[in-house]
Amino acid sequence: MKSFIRKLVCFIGIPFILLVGIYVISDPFKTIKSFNLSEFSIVNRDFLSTELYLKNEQTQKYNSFIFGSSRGCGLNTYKWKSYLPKGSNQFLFQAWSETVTGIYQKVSYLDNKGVPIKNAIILLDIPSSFGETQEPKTALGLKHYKLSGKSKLYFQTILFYSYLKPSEIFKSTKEIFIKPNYEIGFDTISNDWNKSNKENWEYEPKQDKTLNKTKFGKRPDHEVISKELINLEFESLLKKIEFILQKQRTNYKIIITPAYDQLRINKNDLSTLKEIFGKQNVYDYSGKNILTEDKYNFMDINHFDAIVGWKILENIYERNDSKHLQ
Amino acid sequence: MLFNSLNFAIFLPIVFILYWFATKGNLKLQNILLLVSSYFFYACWDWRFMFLLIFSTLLDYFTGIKIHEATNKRNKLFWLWLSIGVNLGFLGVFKYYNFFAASFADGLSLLGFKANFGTLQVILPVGISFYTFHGLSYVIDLYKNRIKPERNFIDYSLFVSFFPLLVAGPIERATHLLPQILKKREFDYSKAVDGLRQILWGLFKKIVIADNCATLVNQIFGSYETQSGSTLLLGAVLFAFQIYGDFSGYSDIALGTARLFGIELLRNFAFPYFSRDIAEFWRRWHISLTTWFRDYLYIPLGGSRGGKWQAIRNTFIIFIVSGFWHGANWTFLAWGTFHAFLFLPLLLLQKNRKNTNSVADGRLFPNMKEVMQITSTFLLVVVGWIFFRAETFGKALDYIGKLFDKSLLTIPTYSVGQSKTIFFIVLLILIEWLQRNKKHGLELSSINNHFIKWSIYYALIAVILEFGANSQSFIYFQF
Repeated sequence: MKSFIRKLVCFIGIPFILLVGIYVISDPFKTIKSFNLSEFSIVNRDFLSTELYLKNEQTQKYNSFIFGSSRGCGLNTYKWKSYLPKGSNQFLFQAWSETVTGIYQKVSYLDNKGVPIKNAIILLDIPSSFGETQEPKTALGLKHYKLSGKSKLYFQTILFYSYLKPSEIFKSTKEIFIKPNYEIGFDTISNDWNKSNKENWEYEPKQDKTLNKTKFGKRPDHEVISKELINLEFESLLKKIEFILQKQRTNYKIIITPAYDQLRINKNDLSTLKEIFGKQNVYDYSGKNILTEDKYNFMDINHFDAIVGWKILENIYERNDSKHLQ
Repeated sequence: MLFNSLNFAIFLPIVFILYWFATKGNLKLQNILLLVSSYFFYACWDWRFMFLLIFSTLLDYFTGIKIHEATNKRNKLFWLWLSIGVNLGFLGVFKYYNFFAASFADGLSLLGFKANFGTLQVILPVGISFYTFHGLSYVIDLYKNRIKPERNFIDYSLFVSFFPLLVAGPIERATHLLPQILKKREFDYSKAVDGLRQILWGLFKKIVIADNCATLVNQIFGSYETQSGSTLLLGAVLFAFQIYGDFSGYSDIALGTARLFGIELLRNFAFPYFSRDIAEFWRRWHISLTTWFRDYLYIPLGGSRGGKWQAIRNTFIIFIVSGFWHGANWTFLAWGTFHAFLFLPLLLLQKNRKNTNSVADGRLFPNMKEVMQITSTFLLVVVGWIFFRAETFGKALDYIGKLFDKSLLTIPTYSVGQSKTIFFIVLLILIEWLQRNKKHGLELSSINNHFIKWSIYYALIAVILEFGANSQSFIYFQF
C-alpha cells in the first residue's frame, strides 16, 4: 500500500507541482499578477474589463457604459462621448462572446454598487448573445468572480483546468522565457481597443487593412433568418435589465449588431426586444443592409470595423439622415 | 457526479483513503463506508430518487428472506412475484408509462377514436434499469436456491448500490458480487495499479473517442436529409464508436474503480467489434445484460431445447425485451428485432457457437476470411445502430433509405474535426486489436520497464487533456 501511494504521489504530485509553478509564473490568462493592458493577448476579457473598472472607478467615476461582446471593439467610446451630455465618463464593459446573462450580471453589479448608469449601449449579437444562460466554463468565457458571485478559488480552478492542455502548457512555458510580441492592446481608462483610443480617432482606410487577414468565406445569396432565440429565461433576464435601466433613468440604446454572415434576427425576437425595451430604443443592423454588404466594413467575419461603429453612432443619435442604414 | 468530472476526481481518492486507512481493514466499517459513499454518489444525481433506491433495496431484502423461509412452492412464488411485480411496476411507471399511453392513444386515433390518457411529468431515476435488475437477479437466485439470503442489511444494500456500478452497470449477480462483499479484502498492489490503468483507458474512450464522435454524429444525424449516402454511412460508423467508447469506457472506469477497493466486477465488453458473427457480437457486447436475459428469461422460457419454433419465439422475446429495456421508443424495439433476425439463422443452423475462440488466435494479423467476417458483422451492427440513434422509427428508415442510394459511392462531406476523430478511432482499433486477449486495452502486465509504462500513461493523459471534447453525458445514463 505504501509503495502504491508513494508511486501515485510521484506520478501525479511532481508533474502537478511543476504545472502549478508554470501556471503561477507564466499567469497565462493574466488573472494572478497585474497586467499591462496596453498589451493584448487572448485572455479573459471579462476579467480584465472588470479589473480595469475596479481599478479606475474611484478616479474616473464612470457613468456611461457599452455592454456586449468583442464586436464592441468597433465602437469607440471617445467618439460616443461626443454624442453624450457633458460630464459623461464612458467605459467599454466588454467580454469575449458576451451573452445576455453576462450583460445582466454587469448591469446588476453596477446597480447594486450604486453606480449611476446615465447612458448605455447594449450590443446583442445574433445568435451568440443568446447562447447559454449558464456561465461558460472556459478560460475565455469565464466570468469575473465578483460578477458571477462565485469564489476566487472556483474562478482560478476553472482557469487552471483550462490551462491543463499540453499545447497551452507549452505556450505558457515558452512565454516565461520568450516574451510574445503583442500587436494591439486596450486603453487603460476607457477599455477601448487602443487602435482607436485617441480622441481624434479616424477610421482605417480599406487599403491599409493589415490586421486579421482572415479569408471572408462565401455568404448565402439570400438572407438567412435566425431561428427564435429568446426563450423564457432570456426574456426574464432582458426584463431585469430593462427594470434596472428604467429605475436608473438611463438613456439607453439596444443595438442588434451587423455581421458578415448577414444573419437576420428572427422577427419574433425583434418584437420581444421592442416590447421590453421600447421600439424607439431598439436598432436592428442584422441581415442584409448597406453596412453588411461591403466586406471591407469588417475586420473579420465576426467583427465590424470602426467605420461601421461610427455610422451606427451617427444613426442612433440621429446626427444625420442615416435612417436608411437599417 | 460523472466519472469524468472534477467532483469524482475529488470523491474517489477521499473514499479510497478512508477505505484503506481509516477503517483499518475492518470489513464491517469498509462496507458501511462504501454504502454511505454510494448513497452520497447517488444523491449527487438527484437526492429525491434515493428513496426509491432504498425502497427497492428494502423490498428485495425482505422478500428475499421470505422466499428462503417459505415452506412451500406457492409461498415462494408469491414473494418472488411480489418482488418482480413491484420492481418492474416502478420501472414501468417511470420508464414506460408515457410511451404506452402515447402509443395507445396513437393506435386508437388510427381507428378513429380520440383518446387522451395524459402523460406523467416524471424524470427517469438514474440507474433504475440497472439496480432493478440487480435486485431481481438476487430474488430469482434465491428462489432457485443458488444462494442463501443475505441477512445483513448493510451488506445487501451495498450489493445493490455499490457506486461504481450503480448508474450504468455492469449488472452484477448476487452469486458473483455478494461473496466479495462478505469477504475480507486485502490491498492488492497489482490489482489497484491495473484498476487505475483501466480507469485511464476508460477515460480515453469516453473523452477522446465518444465525445468527439458525438459532435460529428449530432451534426450528421441532425441534418441527415441533406447529406450524401457516404456521409450518412460515416455518421453511423461514428455513432458505433461513440456508443462503444461511451459505454465500454464507462464500464472500464467502473471496473477499474471497483478494483481499487479490492472488488472485481463482471466484465461487460470483450472487444465486440472484432466479432466474426452476430452471435459472437452478443457474447462480447454488454455481456452483463445479455447473460442476465439468457439466464433469467431465455433459459426459463425453455431456451432452444424445446424445438425450432420455441427457439424462434424465445430468441425474438429476448431481443425485443432487450431492445425495450434500453428505452421506451419504437426505435429500440426495431433495433432488438433487427438483431433477432440477424441472430436467428445462426441459431437455427446451430452456428451460433462457432466462433468462441479469440479472432486470429496466435497470429498478429487476421486472415482474409476473418477480415471479411469482422467487416460484414461490423456493418450489420452499424445498420442496427441507426435505429438506436434515430429519434423515431420513421427517421431511422429514412436515414437507411438515403444511406443506400447512389451517393453512397461519393466522397463523404469532410470537416476538419473528422480527421482528428478518425485518427483516434484507428488508434483505438490498433491498440485493442493488439490487446484483444487481455481484459482491457491498457493491461500492460507484460511490460516490466517502468519508464515505458509511465511514458504510455503520460502520453495518454496528454491526449485526453489536449484532444478531449466538450463533456457529453454518458449515453447509457438515459437507460
